[in-house]
Amino acid sequence: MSDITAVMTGHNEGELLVTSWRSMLAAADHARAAGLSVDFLVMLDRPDEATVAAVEVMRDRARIEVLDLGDHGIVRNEAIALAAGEYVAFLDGDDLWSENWLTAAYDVCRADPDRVVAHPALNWFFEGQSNLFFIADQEDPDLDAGAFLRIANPWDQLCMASRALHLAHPYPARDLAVGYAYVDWSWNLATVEAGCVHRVVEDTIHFKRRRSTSQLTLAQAASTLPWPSTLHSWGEQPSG
Amino acid sequence: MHPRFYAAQTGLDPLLAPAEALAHFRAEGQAAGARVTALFQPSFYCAAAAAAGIEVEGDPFDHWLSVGAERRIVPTPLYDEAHYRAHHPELRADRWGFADFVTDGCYRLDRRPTAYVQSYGARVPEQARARQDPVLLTGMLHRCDEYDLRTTSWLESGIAAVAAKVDRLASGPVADLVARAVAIEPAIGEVALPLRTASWPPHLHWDSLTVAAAEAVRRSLPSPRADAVVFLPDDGSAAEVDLPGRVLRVACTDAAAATAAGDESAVDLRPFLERLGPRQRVQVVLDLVRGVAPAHVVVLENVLATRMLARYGRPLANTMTVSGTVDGRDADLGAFVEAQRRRDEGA
Repeated sequence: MSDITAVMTGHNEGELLVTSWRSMLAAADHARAAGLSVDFLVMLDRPDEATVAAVEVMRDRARIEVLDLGDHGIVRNEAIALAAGEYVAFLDGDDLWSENWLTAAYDVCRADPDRVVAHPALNWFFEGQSNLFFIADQEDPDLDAGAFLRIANPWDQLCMASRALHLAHPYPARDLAVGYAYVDWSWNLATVEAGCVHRVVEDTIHFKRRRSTSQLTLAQAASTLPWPSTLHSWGEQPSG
Repeated sequence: MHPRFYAAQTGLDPLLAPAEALAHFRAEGQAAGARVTALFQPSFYCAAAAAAGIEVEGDPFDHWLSVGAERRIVPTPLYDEAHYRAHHPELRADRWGFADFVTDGCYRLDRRPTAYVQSYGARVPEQARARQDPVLLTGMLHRCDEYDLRTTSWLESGIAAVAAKVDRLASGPVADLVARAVAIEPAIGEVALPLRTASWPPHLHWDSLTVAAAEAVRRSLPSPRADAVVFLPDDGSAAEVDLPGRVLRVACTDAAAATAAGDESAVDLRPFLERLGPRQRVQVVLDLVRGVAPAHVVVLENVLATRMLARYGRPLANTMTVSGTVDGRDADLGAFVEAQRRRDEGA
C-alpha cells in the first residue's frame, strides 16, 4: 500500500491532460522528498480520441482505466475502489496542483484520518478568468458551516481524504431527471452531517482552468439542487 | 454623508437627513470618534497618507477634507482607483475615479470599486441617492454588533484579510509555488490584473447575506415544521385554502402582510428580504420550503414563490406536492414554469 493515490479524472481534455500530469508528477516528487510513497491512477470516463491519445505518456507510471459511466461522482467511487493508497487525492484533468499539495494535505489528513477532508487554501481560476477563491475552513468561527451549506457550496471536490473516509461516504449519483445534481455539494453535506471536518491546508493552491461546460455550469443550467440532507431540515437545527 | 451608517454608531434614526447627520457629527459625533461617511476609515487614511509622505495632524477626517482629497488620497479599503478605472474606462481621464464613486458609483450595482465582493447580491436601497445610502452599507452593517464601527466593519475587516492573502501570493514561498506552476502552465501567469474578483466565504462571499437572511427567517418561526406552506397572494386578497395539519402562511408583499396581520400562523418575509436582490430572495424562499419540509406547497398568485418553483419545483416535487393559482388559474408545476417563462419574456 502506498501513502497516497493521486487520481486524475479525464473526459475530453486532450493534451491538457498532459499538463495536469506534469503538475501531478511535480507534487509527487515533492511528497517523495518528504518520505511519502505515491502511486497514480488515471480514470477516463467516455473519453474522446485526443484524450485517449494523451494518456499514452502516463502509461509507464500510472494505472489507466477507461470507463463508460457519464457521472463524475461514480467515477470517483470507482477510483476509490481501485486506489492502493491510504489517502486519495483528486485532480481534474485540466487543472494543476501547487507542488506542495500532496505533502501538506497528507499532514493535515493524518491528524484525524477518519474525519478530515483537506482542501487547498486557494482556488486560482485561470484561462479567460482572473478570479481568486480563498477557501473557508469549516472551523472558521465566522463560518456557520451548517447554515452556509444550505445555501451555497464552500468546497469543491479536488480534495484529499483517507480512502477509509471515502469508502464510508461514497459520492451520490447525479440524477438530472429528478432534479438532483451538485455531486460535490451533496457530498459535502453528507460528510458534514456525518461529523467529518473540512480543513483548509495553508499555502496550497489548486489552479483551475475554467471551462464553460463545467459540471457546475451544467447543474445550474438544469435548475437542480443537491441531494436532500438533514442539514437542510430546520427541524434538525438548533432553535437559536 | 451616510446617515444610516452614522446612525448605527450613534443610535440615531437611520432615516436622518444627510444634513442633520452632518450637523450632529460636528456637534457630538466627531469628538466621540464616529464616522459620518462609510467611505472614510481613519487608520487606512493615515497609512495611505504616510505612504504618500504626508503626516496627518489633528482629526484625520478634517485632514482628509483639507489635504488628502486635494492630493487624491483614497481613504478607504473599499475602493481601489486602478481597479475602478480598469473596469470603467468610460470615465473621463482627468476625473478622479474616487470622486465619481462617492457621488455616483456607490449607488449603483454595475460599479466595481475593488476586486472584492461588496454588494453581496444586495439590491440598491430605495431612494439610495436621496438618503445617501450606498449599496456597500449592507455589507458594512452585517453583524455590526460585533464591530466598533468607528474603526472597522464586517466588510472592511474582510477586505483587509483577503487583501493580505492576495499580497502573500506576490512574494515568499507561495510566490515560488505559483512560479513553479506557471513553468508548467504559462496560462496561470496570464491572470489579468486587476483581478476580476477575489472572494472568501463567509467574509467576502456573494451568498453570505443570503445565509444570514435565511437563518433569521428560520429563527423567527415558532416551529421549524409545518404540514403545508401557503404563499399568500401578493395583492392581499384572501387565501381560501383548506389543508390538514399545521399550515404556515407566508407573506411577501405589503398587501399580503396587511391581510395576514394578527395571524399567528403567518410569517412576514419582507424584513428579511428587504435588502436582497432577486436571486437571493429566491434562495431564501427555497431554504424556507426545504427547511420546513411540508407535504404540500401552495402558491397563490405570489410572484416570488412562483419564481422559486419555476426554478426548483422539479426536485422539490420529489418530496412534496406543488400546486396553487397563477394568473387566476389553477396551477401545477408546469404552470409555474410557464408563468415564469412568460414573465421573463415580458421583462
